[in-house]
Amino acid sequence: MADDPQRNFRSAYYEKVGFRGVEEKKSLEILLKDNPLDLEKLSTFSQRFPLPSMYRIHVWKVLLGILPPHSDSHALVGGYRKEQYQDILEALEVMRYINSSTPSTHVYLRMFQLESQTLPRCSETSPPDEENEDFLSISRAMEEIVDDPVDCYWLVKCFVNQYHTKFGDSVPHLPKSLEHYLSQEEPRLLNHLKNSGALHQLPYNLWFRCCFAGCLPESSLQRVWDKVISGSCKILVFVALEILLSYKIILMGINRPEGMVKFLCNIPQENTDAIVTKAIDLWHKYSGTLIHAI
Amino acid sequence: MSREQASISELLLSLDSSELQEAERVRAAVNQQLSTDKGGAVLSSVVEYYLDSSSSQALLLLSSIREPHHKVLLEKLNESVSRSGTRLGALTLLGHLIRKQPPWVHHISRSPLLLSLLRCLKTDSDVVVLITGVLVLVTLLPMIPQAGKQHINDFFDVFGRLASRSCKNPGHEPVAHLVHLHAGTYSLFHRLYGMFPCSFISYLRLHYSMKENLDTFQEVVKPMLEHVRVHPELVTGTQDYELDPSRWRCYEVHDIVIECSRVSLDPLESSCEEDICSSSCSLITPLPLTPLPHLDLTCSPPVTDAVSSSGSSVCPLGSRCVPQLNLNTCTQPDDVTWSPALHCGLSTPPSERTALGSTHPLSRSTSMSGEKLPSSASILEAPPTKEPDRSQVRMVKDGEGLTCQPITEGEEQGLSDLVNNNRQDVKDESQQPSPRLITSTPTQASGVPLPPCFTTPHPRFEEPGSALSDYSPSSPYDPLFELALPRAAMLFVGKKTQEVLEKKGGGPQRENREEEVTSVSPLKVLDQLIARGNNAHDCLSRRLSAGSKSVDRSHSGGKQQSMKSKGSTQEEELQSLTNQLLLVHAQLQYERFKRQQHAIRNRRLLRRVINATTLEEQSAAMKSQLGVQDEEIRSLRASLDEEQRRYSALQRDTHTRSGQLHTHIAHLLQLQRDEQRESQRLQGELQECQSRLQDLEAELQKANYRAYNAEHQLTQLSVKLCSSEQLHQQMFLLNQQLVLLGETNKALQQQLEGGETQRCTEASMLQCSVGKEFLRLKDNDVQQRQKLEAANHRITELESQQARKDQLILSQKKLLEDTKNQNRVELSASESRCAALRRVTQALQTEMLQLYGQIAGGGAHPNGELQDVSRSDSGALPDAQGSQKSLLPFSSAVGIMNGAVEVLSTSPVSLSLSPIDSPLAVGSFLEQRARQLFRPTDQNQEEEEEVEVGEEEVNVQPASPPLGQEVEEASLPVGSPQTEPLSQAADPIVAPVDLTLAVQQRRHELSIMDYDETLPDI
Repeated sequence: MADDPQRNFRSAYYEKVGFRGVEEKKSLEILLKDNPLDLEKLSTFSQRFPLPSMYRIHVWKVLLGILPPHSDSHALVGGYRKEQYQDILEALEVMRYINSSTPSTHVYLRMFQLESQTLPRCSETSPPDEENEDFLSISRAMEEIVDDPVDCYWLVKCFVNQYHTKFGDSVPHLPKSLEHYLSQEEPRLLNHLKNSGALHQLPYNLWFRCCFAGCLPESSLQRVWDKVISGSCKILVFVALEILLSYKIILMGINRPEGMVKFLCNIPQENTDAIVTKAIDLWHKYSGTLIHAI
Repeated sequence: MSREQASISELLLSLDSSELQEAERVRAAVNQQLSTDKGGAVLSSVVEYYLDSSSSQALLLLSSIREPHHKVLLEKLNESVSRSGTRLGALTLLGHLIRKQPPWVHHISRSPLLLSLLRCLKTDSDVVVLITGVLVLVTLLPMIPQAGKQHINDFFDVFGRLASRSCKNPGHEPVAHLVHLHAGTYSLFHRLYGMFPCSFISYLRLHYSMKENLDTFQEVVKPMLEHVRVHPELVTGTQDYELDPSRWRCYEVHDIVIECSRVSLDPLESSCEEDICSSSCSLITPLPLTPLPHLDLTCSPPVTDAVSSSGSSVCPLGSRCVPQLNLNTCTQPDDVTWSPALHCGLSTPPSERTALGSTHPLSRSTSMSGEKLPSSASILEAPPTKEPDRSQVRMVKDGEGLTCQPITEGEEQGLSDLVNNNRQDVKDESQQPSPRLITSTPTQASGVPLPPCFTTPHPRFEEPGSALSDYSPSSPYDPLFELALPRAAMLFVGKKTQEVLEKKGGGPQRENREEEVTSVSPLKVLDQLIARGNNAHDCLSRRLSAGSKSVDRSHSGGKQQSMKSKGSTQEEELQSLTNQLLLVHAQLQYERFKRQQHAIRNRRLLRRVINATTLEEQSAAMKSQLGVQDEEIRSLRASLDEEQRRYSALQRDTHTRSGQLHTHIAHLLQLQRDEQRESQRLQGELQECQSRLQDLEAELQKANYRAYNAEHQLTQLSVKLCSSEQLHQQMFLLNQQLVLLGETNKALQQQLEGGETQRCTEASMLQCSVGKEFLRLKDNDVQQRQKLEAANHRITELESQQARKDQLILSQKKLLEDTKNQNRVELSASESRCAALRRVTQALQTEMLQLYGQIAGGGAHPNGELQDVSRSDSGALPDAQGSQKSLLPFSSAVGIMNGAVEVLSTSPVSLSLSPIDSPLAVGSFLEQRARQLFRPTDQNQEEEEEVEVGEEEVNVQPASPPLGQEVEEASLPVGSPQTEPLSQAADPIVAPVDLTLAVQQRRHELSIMDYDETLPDI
C-alpha cells in the first residue's frame, strides 16, 4: 500500500490535519477481510498504529488466539469458548467456590486457577497472593474494556498467559532498561532517584507485572495493551519513563522514597492519554528501526 | 609512682658514693629512668637533689637531658629561680647547663625562665645571686641573641641596676663581692655593647643623662667605656637592625663572643684575632712561619698581643709581661695605630712613632726595633723579631734589676698593708693615665679620685685590715686557689712578675706610666684580688708546712690567729668565705666558658690556616709545574722553528723538482701531439683504402650477379626447348586423333539417323510419370503439414489444461492446509475446552472426594478425627478398589491392588491434592515405615489405563456402595484389631485395604506421634 502515491499523499495530509487513524481504519478493515487472517500483519499494524476501538476486541482476540485466523470457524470456536466458560463457571458454582454474589473478577480468578490447576481447596481458600492480585487488577481493567464476560475471561486469561510465556524472561530486566532510558532522557531525575534511594522502590510491580492495570484509566490503558498484546513489552518501559518525565517536577520535589512511590502509585488520571501518546512516540523513536525492520 | 620516687631518691643518694663503679651504675640507672621519664618526676627529683647537695654527678646527669625533657627541666628551674631559697642553686645549675650548650638552649629565650632570671636580677638584693645571675646572663646572651628583640630593655635595666649597685653598694657588701660584681657588670657591659651597640648607647645616653645616675656613670660606666672602642655598628647599624633576629642567623655562639670581644680594648676581654689574621694575610710570610704565630696567639692573650705588634713585645718566657706593657703594646698598636707600612716593612709612619714615643720608652724601643728589623730583613721576619724580644726582656729585667725597691710604693701612698699597696699600685697606674688619655673628663679636672673598685675598697679594707691584720682580704682565697688551677696559675705567674716589676722598677716606671695607662679594667682587679689571695694562701701554707706558729711574723699567720681568736666572727667569716668561694667559682666557670669559646674559634681558625697552607702549597706546586711547562713550551717552540725551516727547504726542493717535471711533460706532450697527427694521417689513408676496397667488392658482386643471371636464362631456354619439342609430339598425336574422330563421327551419324522416333515416346511417358509423381508428393506434403499443426494445437491445449490442474491442485492444497489449520485451531479450542472440562472434573472429583472423606470420617470417627481421615485420602483407595472390583472382575487381584495403590500416588486426583494430603507425605514416621513395609515392589504396567478407568468410574459413579463398603471395612478393624495380622497373612486381596486400615488404626493409636497434626482438631 505504500506504493500508491495518492494514498500516501492522502494519509500524509490526514496526518498533517490531525486525523490519525482514518487511513488505519481502512487498512485494518482490508486486513480483517483476509480469510485466514494474517497474524503477522495484524500485529505489525497494531504495533505501528492505534487500533480503532470498534475492532480492538476482535483484533485482540485474534492476536491472543482466542479466535482462530479463519473467520469461518469463528462461530464454532466462539461457541466452544463460551461453552468452556460456562462449564467451568458451573463447576465452580457447584463446588461452591463462587456464587451469584461473587464479583466477576474473583470468578475469573477462580476459573483461571482451576484451569491452571492451582485452585486451592475450598476449605483452604487463602487471600489472593501477589500473582493473584496482578491477575485481579488486570481482570478489573479488562472488565471495564470488555462487556461480555466470556470474552472478558478469555481475554484476561490469554493475556496473562501470553504475557507470562512471552515476556516472562524479559520482565525482570525492564527496570534496568528503564534506568538506561531515563539516564538518556533525564539524568538529573535519575540522579535524584538514585540519591533518594527511590530507584529500587519504584512501583515496578504495578508497572511491569500488572501492565499498568489500575494505574492508568482504561481508555489509555487499552492503547498500551494494544502494543503489549501485539508483542512488545518494551512499551511498558516507555510508559513508565514518560510517567516519570511528566511528573518530574513533582518527583524532584519529593525527597522521601515512600512519598515518591505513593505518588507514582496514584498518579492523576487527567492527562494519561497524552502520556501514553508521548510514550508511544518515544517508543517509536527508540525502536523505530526495529519496527520498520519487521 | 611513689615507689619509683622512692627508688629514684635512693638512687640519687648513692649517686655520689665513693665507689666509682657503684656511682657509674647508679648514674646509668638514673639516666635510663630519665630517658623513660614521662611526667618529669624523676627529672624534678634530680634537680632537687642537685639543689640540695649540688652534686657534680647530678649535674652531669642533668646536663645530658635530651630535647623532650627540657621543658620539665626549664619549668623546674623557673620554679626554683622564683623561690628565693633555691635561687642561688638554680642559677648555678642553670649556668652549668647552659655552659654545656645543650641543643635545647635556644628554647630558653621563649621560656619563662628567662623572664624570671631577669626579674631576679632586677629585684634580688643578694650580691652572690646577682653575680651568679649576671654571669649566667652574660653566658646565655650569645646563645639566644634573638631574645634581644623582646628583652633588650630588661637587659639594660639589669645592667643599670648592677652598675648603680656596684657603685653605691646599698647592701654594704664586702668589697670582694663588689669586685666580683663589678667584674660581672663589666662583662655584661661588654656583651651588651658588643651585641646591641646602638640600643645600648642610646640606653646609656638616656639613663645616665639623668642627674641621679651621673655618679654611677662617672664611677662605673665611664671607665668601662674607656675599655671599648667605637663599635662599627654605631656607624652603619640602627637599633632596629641590630635587634633583628635574622641578623644572628649565621652566627655561632663563639662568633658572637668574639664579636663582642673585638670591640674591647681590655686585653682580658678582647681578642685581636682579626687583625692578626689580616696582618698575617697581608704579610707575605714564608710558609713554615705562618702557622706558628697563629698557634701562639691562640694560647693566651698576652702572647697574641705580642705577636700582633709585629713581635715588638713578644715574651718568649711564656710568662705574662708587665700589664702596663700589655696595655700599651697590645691595645694601642692593635687598633689605633696599626698601619700598612708596618707590614710592608717601610719606615714607620710618623703618627705611630709619635704616639708610641709619647707613651713609654720601653714600648717605643721595642716598636722601633720591631719595625726596623723587618725593614732591614723583609722576608725573614721571625728570627729577627725574637732578638728584640729578648733584648726587650733583658731591658725589662734590667729595669727590674735597677729598680728593686720593696714595698715603698704602697707606703708612699699612705696605705698600710701589702695588698692594698699593690692594689694601690694598680690603682695608680689606672688612675694616673686617665688624665693623659681622656683629658676632657671631669674626673680628672675635678679631682674625683678613683674608679669605684678602688674607692670602695678603702673602707672595706680598712675595716678588717685595721681590725685584724693586713692580709684579711686576700686570705679568703687561700683555700680556693688549688681549684682555680690553670688560669689562676698563669695569672699568678703573670701577677708575680708584674709585682716584681712594680716593686723593682716602680719608681722610675711610674713616671712614664702615669702618662699613658688608662683606667684599669675590673677584670684585672679581680685577677689581682684572686692572685693576692693565692699569694697569701701560698704564704700561709708555707708557714703552716714550716709548722711555725709565730703568728705575728707572718701576715697570714697573724690573720689566721686573729680569726681563731675571734670566735664570734668566725661564723660570719665562714659564710662570707663560702660566698666568695661561690663567686670565684662562678667567675671561674664563666672564664672557662669564654676559654672554650675561644678554643672553638681557634680550632676553626687553625683549620683555615691549614687550608690556606695546603692551598699555598698547591699554588707553589702549580707554579713549579707552570715553570716546567714554560720550559717545555720553549723547547717545543724551538723545535717548531727547526721544523719550519726544514719544511721550507723541502718546499723549495719540491718546487725545482716540479719545474723540471713540468718541462719534461711539455716535451712529452709535444711528442705525443706529433704522433697523433701521424696516426691521423695514416688512418685517413686507411679509410681511403677501405672505401676503395668496398667499391671493388661491389663491382665484384655485380659481375657475379650478371653471371648468375645469364646462367639462369640459359637453363630456362633449355627447358623451353624441351617443352616445345614435347608439344610438337603432342600436336602430332592430336592430329591423328582428330582424323580418327572425324571418321567415327561420320559412322555414328549414320547410325543415328536410323533409331530417332522410338526414343521420343519413351521420354514423354517418363516425363508424364515424373509429373504425376511430383503432384502426388506435393499433396502429401500439405497433408503432413496440417497434421503437424493440429498436433501442436493439441499440445498447447493440453499444457494449459495441465497448468489449470496444477493451479487447482495448489489451491486445493492451500485450501486443505487452510482447513487443516482451521480444524486444528478448532480442535485446539475444543481440546482446551476438553482440558478445561477435565480440570473441572478433577476439581469436582477433589471436591467430591473431600465430601466423601467428610462423610466417611463422620461415620468412622464421630469423635472428631474427620479431618484426619479425609486428609489421609484413604477414602480414595477403597472407592477405587471397590469400583474396579465391580467392573473388572478379570484383572488380577494384585494388579488391582497395585493399581489402586498407584492411583493413590499418580492419579490426577491425587495430583490435584496438595502434597500434604497425600498419604505418602503424611509426616508420621511410623506411617511411612509401615507404607514402606507393605508397599508392593513391582510396578504395574497397566497402571495408566486403569487410572483412566478409575477416573471414569469416579466420574460416572458417585458410588454409594463403595462408600458403604469402605465404611464397613473401616469399621471392621476398629471393631476387631486382633484379626489384622491374620487377614494380612491369609488374604492378599484384602491385604492392602487391611494395611491401610491398619495404618490408619496405628495412626489413631499412635496419634501422639503424628507430627502432622497441625490442623485444628475439633
